[in-house]
Amino acid sequence: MKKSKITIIVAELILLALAVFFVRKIFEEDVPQKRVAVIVERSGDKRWDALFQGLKHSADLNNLHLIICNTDDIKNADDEKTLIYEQLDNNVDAFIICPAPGSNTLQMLQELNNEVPFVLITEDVYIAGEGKDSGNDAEYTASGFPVIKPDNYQMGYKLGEELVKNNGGALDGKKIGIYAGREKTEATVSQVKGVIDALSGTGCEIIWEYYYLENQNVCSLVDNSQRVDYICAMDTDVLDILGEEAVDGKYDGAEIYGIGSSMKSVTLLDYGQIRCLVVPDGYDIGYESIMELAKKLDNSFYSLESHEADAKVIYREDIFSDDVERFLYSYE
Amino acid sequence: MGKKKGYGQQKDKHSLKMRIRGWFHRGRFIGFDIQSIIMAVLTTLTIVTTVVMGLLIYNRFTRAIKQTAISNAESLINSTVEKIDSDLLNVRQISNALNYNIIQEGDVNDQEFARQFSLLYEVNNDKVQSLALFDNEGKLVAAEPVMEQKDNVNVKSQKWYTDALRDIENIHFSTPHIQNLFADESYKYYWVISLSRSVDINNGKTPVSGVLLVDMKSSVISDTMKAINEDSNEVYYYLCNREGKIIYHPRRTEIDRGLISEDVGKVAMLEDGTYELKLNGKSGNVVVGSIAYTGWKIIGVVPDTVQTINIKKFRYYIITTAIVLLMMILEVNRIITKKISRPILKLNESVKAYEAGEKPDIYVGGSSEIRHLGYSVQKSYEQIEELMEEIIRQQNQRRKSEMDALQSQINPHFLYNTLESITWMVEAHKNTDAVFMISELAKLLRISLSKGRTIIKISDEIQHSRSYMNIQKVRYKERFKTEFIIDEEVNDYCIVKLVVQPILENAIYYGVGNMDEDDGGKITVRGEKKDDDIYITVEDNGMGMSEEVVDNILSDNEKVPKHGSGVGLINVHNRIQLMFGSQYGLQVYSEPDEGTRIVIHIPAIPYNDQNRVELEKQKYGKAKVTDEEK
Repeated sequence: MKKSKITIIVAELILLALAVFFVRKIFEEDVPQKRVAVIVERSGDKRWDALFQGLKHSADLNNLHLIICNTDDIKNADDEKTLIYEQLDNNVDAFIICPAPGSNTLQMLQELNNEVPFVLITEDVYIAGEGKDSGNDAEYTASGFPVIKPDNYQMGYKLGEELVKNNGGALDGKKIGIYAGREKTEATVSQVKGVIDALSGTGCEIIWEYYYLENQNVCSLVDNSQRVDYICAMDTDVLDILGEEAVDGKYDGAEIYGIGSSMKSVTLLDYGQIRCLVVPDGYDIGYESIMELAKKLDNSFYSLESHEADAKVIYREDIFSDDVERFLYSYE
Repeated sequence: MGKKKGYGQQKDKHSLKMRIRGWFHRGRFIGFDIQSIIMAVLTTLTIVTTVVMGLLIYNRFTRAIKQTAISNAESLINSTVEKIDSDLLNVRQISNALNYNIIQEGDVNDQEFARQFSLLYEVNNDKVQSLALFDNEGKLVAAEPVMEQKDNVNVKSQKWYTDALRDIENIHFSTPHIQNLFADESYKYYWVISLSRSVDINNGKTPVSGVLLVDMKSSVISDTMKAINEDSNEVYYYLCNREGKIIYHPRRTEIDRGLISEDVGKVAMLEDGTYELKLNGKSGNVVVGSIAYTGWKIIGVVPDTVQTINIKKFRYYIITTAIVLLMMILEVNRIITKKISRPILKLNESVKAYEAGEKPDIYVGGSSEIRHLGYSVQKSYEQIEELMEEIIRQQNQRRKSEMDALQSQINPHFLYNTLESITWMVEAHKNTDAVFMISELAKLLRISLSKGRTIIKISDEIQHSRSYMNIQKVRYKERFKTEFIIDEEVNDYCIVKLVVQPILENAIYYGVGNMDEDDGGKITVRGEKKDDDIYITVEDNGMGMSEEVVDNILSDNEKVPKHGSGVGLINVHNRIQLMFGSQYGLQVYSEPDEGTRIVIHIPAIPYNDQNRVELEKQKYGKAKVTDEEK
């Protein structure tokens, strides 16, 4: 064959390949959005408002379709697993999961890890251990999964610190009651450890330590317990329940210090029913978790990373400051 | 300077022109055939045109998209300004109604006051969060909906309150903020825009000044803004006050948290209109519209990358179209180029074939110019052919003349010697011998003449040699012997006339002529056929020749003495080569005192009239080759 003829054929083939490439590019833009399912405990709960805002803003920015699963009927890790596999059947590309307590959670997440990318939010999976791998003194072992969460130990510690600070650095003879979230979760274990560490050596006495159970009568339990000077409510639900009732010398005048992420917690602080509030930055958790997954969905070789969200200590008099008002705008 | 620059430019232009011309002149394109050059030029033009057209269309499209986006933003901002103006006017009207119709007309202690206050709230609660009236001590006088004021609220320190008292003539709008007045049983905060004004309150008989607060739901504004930001495709709209404080922004949370930035301060200073600015590090257009009374501004940001997806898609469409167009034009170019260049290439091929020695028909085809060129070349070659044939004919004529001259050189010498011998025999009364001599001479002459033919049968040539030797033996008184050993099969092949005789003559003169009878001088003539060749060998056992003589005997070297009839071996050699070709001729082998052997090598061509005539005309073999070619 003549050289010029070969050149023409080669040129035509190259042009054809280019044409095919660009035609594919035209239709590539019509690819549907990637879908990210969000599974958090009781998704209708107000405490997730800021988190969902962060998720939505970040999803808009990264052109992802967000599916916030209704988890109001989910009671344990098995229910969560069922929901995750339902979503997998719906061709979900990634998950954002708040790990449910239970021994099966770790195994379920390990299985899921082989299927689609996911990030854990607000807390890590609880693995009982010496706490050496977690980077703090909490008594748990890090799962190794990517987690976007506040430093739960530090939040507990900050709460304890504020309590000590408000008492002039000493809590001699003061009685403390700790009401934490659900037992054997990373957040609870870390926060309780944090607050106990902060209070140790201050002369106070921890009179009781409760863990929240579903349908538990929180107020009644506290009322029927030995009188304390301060209640450390380490869970949003517990804090909101206790704070709502904390009027007219309820709990024998015990002041409530709490960790909470709902707007109700903030208003209770504003109404003077809570003394001090530590608020994790839910917006940041939601925003960063989507950012991480977006990177992973964009580049399958990307290795998901863990991030630590900020937490803010708020007092009643701070609420209408520009800084806190801006923070509260996340709940809008 | 200007002149120098101009000169430099001219020089550059000139040198470029020269360089391009130089390319052609130096033959950079000589290596390419005409088809490639036409193809390259057409393809380059096609690519340049396609790219330029593509860029122009793309540019026009992106400009149109951008202009459309700006126009859309302008009209959207105008309508939004009207909508927000209307909402704020509505709230002002509520405030006016409260002030002029209820507060100034009634007593705050009257039931009617409370009823009208409540009624106004009920009618407008879709946009109003609360209505409240405070006295000059900051004490709540009236509020709708009726709610408990928070115990930790100091109204007098709140901005809306201080603004109203500072400038009592005006109505003051705040930016959106969390309402910090009432304890809500549902544990909620409300984002409101406060409209406050100083009012005169009739509290019984004592008129006091106070502040009327109408807290408008922030969602009235934000919902409008959200609506225009939905599906706005990279164009976004936000609301700020004249100090550059953001009232609404679709990504306010991210801005508040420093995740992204917005150059609000720069834009808040602008009057209404459309500006081309560089904002947040990106260039784009900004459309500014002002809300009446508040001084708020709606900003529409139209980045240059607006409609990125559509532009990207269009870019791909343009590229794909350009590629497909290029492919088609490439093919069309190829066909056109082939159509134009094929006749030229064919003509070129036929000329090349002619130059290579073939005799093709010169191609005549294609366009009239190329056809004319073909005719001209054909005619030229025909003329060359004729001239060549003429030259060959003349050369043949010349060769024949030379050969005739060579052959004619034989006769006088030999005849003289023979006749001298016959004369001597007659004088000596040796009549029998004389008769034999005359008889042999007659045979010799008959064959020599051969009706003027150059080519004769080998048998005739041998007979001529025998006659010659018989005559010479008489002359040399039988001092040597001759022997002819001729294979029968060679007799009927062609040979050039009188080629053996000169060799025999040499054999006598240089070999056996001077030997005594007792020395046993002998000349042997052999004739044989080997493959397609015939070898006639003349061998003597005479004195032989030195190596130098052997080496030069077939050349024109003057050193070699020529004896005998005067016809040297070189003549014989030349005649054979002239007739049969350079691969034939004589081979000479000789050793001093041993003898000489001369081999005549000729092709085995059967003797017949056709072969003879063709050989004589030097056309033998050529006709055969032409037949094979055909």
